[in-house]
Amino acid sequence: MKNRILLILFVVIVNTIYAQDYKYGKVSKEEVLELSHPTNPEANAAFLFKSSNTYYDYKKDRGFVLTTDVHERIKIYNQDGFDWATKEISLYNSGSDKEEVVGIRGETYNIEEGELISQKLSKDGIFDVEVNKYRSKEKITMPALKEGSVIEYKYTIISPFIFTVDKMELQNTIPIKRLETQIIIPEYFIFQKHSNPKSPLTFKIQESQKNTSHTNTSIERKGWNVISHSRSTSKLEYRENIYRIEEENIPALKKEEYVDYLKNYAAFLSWELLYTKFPSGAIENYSETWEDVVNKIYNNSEFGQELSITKYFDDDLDEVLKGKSIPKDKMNIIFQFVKDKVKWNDYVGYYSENGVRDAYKEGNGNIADINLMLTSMLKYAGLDANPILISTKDNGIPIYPSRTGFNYVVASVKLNNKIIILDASQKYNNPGMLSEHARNWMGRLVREDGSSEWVDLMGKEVSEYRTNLRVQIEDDLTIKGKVTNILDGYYAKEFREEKNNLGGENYIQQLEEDKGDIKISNIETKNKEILDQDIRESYDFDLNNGIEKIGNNLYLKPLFFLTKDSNPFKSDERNYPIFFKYPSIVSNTVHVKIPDAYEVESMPENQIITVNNDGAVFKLIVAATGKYLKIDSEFKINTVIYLPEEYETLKNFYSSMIEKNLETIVLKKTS
Amino acid sequence: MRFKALVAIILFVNSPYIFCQDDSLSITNIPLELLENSNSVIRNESISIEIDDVDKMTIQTKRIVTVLNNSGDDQVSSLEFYNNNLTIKKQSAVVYNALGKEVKKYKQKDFKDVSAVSSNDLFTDNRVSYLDYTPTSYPYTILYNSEVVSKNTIFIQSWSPVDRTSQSVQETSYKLTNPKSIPLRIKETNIDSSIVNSGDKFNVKYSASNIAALKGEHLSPRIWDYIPKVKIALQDFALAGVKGSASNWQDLGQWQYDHLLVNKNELSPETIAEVRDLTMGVKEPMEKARLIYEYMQAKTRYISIQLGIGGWMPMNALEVDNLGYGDCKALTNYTYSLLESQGIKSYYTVVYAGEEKRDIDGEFASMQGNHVILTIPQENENIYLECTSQTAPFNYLGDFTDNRNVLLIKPSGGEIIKTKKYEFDENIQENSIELFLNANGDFEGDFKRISKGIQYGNTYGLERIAFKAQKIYYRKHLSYLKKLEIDSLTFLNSKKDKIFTEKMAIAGSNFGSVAGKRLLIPLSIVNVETEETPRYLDRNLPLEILRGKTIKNKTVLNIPAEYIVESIPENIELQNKFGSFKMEIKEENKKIIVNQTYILKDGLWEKEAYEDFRKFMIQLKTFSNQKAVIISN
Repeated sequence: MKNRILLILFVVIVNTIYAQDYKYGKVSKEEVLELSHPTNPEANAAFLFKSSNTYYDYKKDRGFVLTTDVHERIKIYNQDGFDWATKEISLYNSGSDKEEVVGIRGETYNIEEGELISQKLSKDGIFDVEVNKYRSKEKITMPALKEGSVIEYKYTIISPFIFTVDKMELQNTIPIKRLETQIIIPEYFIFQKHSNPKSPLTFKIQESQKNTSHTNTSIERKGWNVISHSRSTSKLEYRENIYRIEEENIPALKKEEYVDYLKNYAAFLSWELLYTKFPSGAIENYSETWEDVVNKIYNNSEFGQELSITKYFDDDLDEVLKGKSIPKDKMNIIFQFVKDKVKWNDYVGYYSENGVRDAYKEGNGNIADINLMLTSMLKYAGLDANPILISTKDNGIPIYPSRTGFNYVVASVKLNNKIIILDASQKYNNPGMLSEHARNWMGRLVREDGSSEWVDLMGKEVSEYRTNLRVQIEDDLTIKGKVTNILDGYYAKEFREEKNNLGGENYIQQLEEDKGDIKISNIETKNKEILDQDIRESYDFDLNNGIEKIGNNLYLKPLFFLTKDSNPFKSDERNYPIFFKYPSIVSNTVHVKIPDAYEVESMPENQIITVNNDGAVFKLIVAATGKYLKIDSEFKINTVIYLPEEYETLKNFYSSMIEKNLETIVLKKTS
Repeated sequence: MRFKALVAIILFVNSPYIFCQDDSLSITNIPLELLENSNSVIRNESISIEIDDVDKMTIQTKRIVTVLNNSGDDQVSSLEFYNNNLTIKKQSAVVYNALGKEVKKYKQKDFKDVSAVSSNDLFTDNRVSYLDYTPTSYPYTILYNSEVVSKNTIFIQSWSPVDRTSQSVQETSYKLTNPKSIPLRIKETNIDSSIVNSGDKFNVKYSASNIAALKGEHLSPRIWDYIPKVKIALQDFALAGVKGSASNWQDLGQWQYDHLLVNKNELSPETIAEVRDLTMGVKEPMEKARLIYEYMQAKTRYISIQLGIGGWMPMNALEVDNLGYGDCKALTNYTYSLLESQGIKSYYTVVYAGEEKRDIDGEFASMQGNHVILTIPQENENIYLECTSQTAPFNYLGDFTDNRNVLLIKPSGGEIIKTKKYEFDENIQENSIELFLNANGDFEGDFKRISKGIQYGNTYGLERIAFKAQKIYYRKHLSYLKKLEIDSLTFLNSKKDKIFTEKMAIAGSNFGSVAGKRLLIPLSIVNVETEETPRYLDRNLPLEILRGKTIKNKTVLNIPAEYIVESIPENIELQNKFGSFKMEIKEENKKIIVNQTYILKDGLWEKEAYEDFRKFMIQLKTFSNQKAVIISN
């Protein structure tokens, strides 16, 4: 922390010396001549200046519109930064209203023969692409780009959606040298601001106020035919709140493997509308407490109403529920019924798209269609069922009571004081399971009475993958053996999703991959479609190069082909937490029959390695009894999230585990 | 309720027509052999093209596809692209369940309409109208109908009874009617007697039935090289309103030159002067060309914009000069213009690009290819320029456009030539590694790698990535070396000779695997990269190795003072029609020295050879995985 303060001080001083001019068009020669980023030499590009100014503009014919002026100056250090010379502006279209972009200007700056020259962005470089019904993109690509070029552009976005203020982006995947971002909000709109708790960066927000007034003159015509004109002048005066951030040298967001979603760690400031109070009207609440959020969601016809209608399914469901009286059985059969009946059309959302009735009839729908239908059926069956609002990984995390923070919904049932999550959008989901994209931190369980609570989505249920390997070494040192795999939980779900469609030969090929000179036969897979049972897969094999004979000794890896030999963590350092998909146990038991003419010369010592108070545990136990070797290896992940500070420990843990699994058993010839 | 369910069942069984049940669409009518290895079955497909005029044709498509599982969802092809020259007149679809009962109907307005802009394009005016159907159960059947009118008669859809793997075909037919009797050219490839041809001189008609699904197999020829195919072209045609006439490559090339390329070469006097100054005093014309190519690389970047006839016509050189970007056509034409300004002749060259090599059909003139490069004709070996890369060396194609038939478009017409082939003895990778081992498993040493030919193209990009990413790359590449640290990393990219050299000091720990007082040490620290050869119960396709290579590894291991060598493997030499592998291991003064040479030759062999090749790969892996044993004394 101390270092950071020093760095900021230093930077401030340096910047004063150079006295950069950030006015549009005032690109300096020095900026174009700079060869690499002073503090991050690996950056391919950097924002020299990034500014946005958002304000409510009063138009006499439309009332308020939300206007954002954007001005960005980007340094392109090398060819790998060329992508930054193409800017995409995403625009929303609600059908009746749409955002638009105006006043696009741009320039590319280069040095030629010692002179700073600029080239204007022309119309050829601006494209309007319609992405879908609701979204279009304005694409800008800058001309005359070279390594070293500085590009600068500005534009204005005009939005009729005055109740939604976009997130202020405070960090990007390239460094930002100077950031100026500001929003001016009339007193009629009361927003609450929230910064990303997952980002370690903090920003100082300067707050101030100003007075604004508009004078309106309007001519009104009266009568069927024009009889009279009346001219009226009205003056609109109000106060505005200004929030401003100025910051220097914001580091780049770094890409790392095993991050749940990189953008979740970017610094930003988001704006949640609490309420509006216009001079002429009463306070209108938008959201404030969870209770408000929940009530609003329930009051929306695409949520509350969809939950309450039962007519379309009651006859069918009565039939399904016939003879079922135990709540758990009811839950299971309804869950299966919805999974069979309605398929997911790949759209997320917590509002029903086509309506549950149509979804039921058509057999497909969005996430809300499916899971709200499921919830109302569970309620119909007398279970304590409620929806849970979720934000998927690529949607960030809801950090304050808000409707817009969520984009996904699942059902839940409370059984024996335990909440069971149900997501009927995936064929191979069992009760309690979520798809990976939805397994994002916490969800909000919302009840019709307005109460709500957080529910853990990461899951505590342990998924197990158990392997039993029997090995017999023949006289010619080939190996015959049999493998039995037993999978439950998410392992079983993943197996079904990946392999249930796989044809015979492809299945064998996939099994044989990376196992050396192997021939697999007699594959048997049980419970592929019986979801409440474990997957049981077994096969026989003949392996040719599974054992090494050097001199008079035989060398064998204790786990044969069951182990990986390289550490998944290869990076030196870590900035963001490490996420494992779910708590898990991977266990391997190997039985080896020692060939007649051999005996054990040496075996690996038994070992248990743990990390982070049993957050992860590995053990290897090798035992020899008579002509048999028994090897037990078990790897447990109990804690699924590790902080960057724990990275080194975790990496070393993996490294020791892999080493241990690769230690060799030596058999020597009996004389 | 029970009563209702009962009624439904009775109705369903007795009067299927109420539900629009079409028994013929029931999956029970699919012959068993068509279900094997397939994700979907084309039940009935008919494509009917009517040539209304030189610049107008109507294409009617009817396709009934039964999808057997979710991998088959993408094989229905219920979509049409459209633009100013291609109009969708009709589009509809009906979905049936497994028994042939109608489930859902789609009219044209129910199709989704989006811009056909791909992740590679910045912009295109092509759009696509597609059926967005969420299957509710498998199998299901889709009947798709469309009618499209095209002004671009230069593109006549070719016909293949089957054109992808994992899809079988029950019935398929193709018909082209040509009431104005415009002369046609037809070329059949791999058409055998199972395919019925009932066309005549001016009309085309083919049909085929009961074709089992093709299986994709590793190291086999590409699908377009072995499937049956009929190509059709009109002698008189139009493209975006421009008419033409051609019956061979000479004429078609001429037409392309005259209508798409000519007069696109204007440059500003300033640019011409700049290029002249740049090459001033350089005598050797190809040295001039190299300077001009590098000038172009520094000045431009690749951006794909496909607009109207611009989809086939390059942007003016002047415009590229001004904007500093363009697509492959624009950048190639720009380079052509720059070279021309200095009196160097070159030709716009159309190619099918991709690692999976594909030829422009030299025997059949039609609009082909998906990429453009530039050829500078030379007496001995032509020079080829890839103009969309800012980093490729002068005259380097790599595996993107090597060794394949391409179309040169000359002012005097079209000509088919073959691009450079990289031979096994040109694609060289030489690794040398020396390690000093410590009794506690730590090691340090150095690693050097030299890459040439195709291998050059696979490695030279390493120079441009961040050091952190480089470290991760080497940790994956040298995965035997645990806790690998890298220091003094240097790269030497000799663009002129197209040789890339990497050098580094390395250190780490946990070398070898512990076996009591013994240590097993790997002898191929740089993996001998073998081809992936899954086992096939029944191999159908020939074996093809597209590119050969030569890998040389020299490994020197200095063992710890406390250890002595207990055993080292014997020398090995393998040789066969696919190549060779040689491994020499010797021990001298506590050093283990290993020399490996692996040669893989390119070639095409009958399918029986696959199993031999697979054995060769297994041997290679087994031998190169051998270990030396050292023991503490």
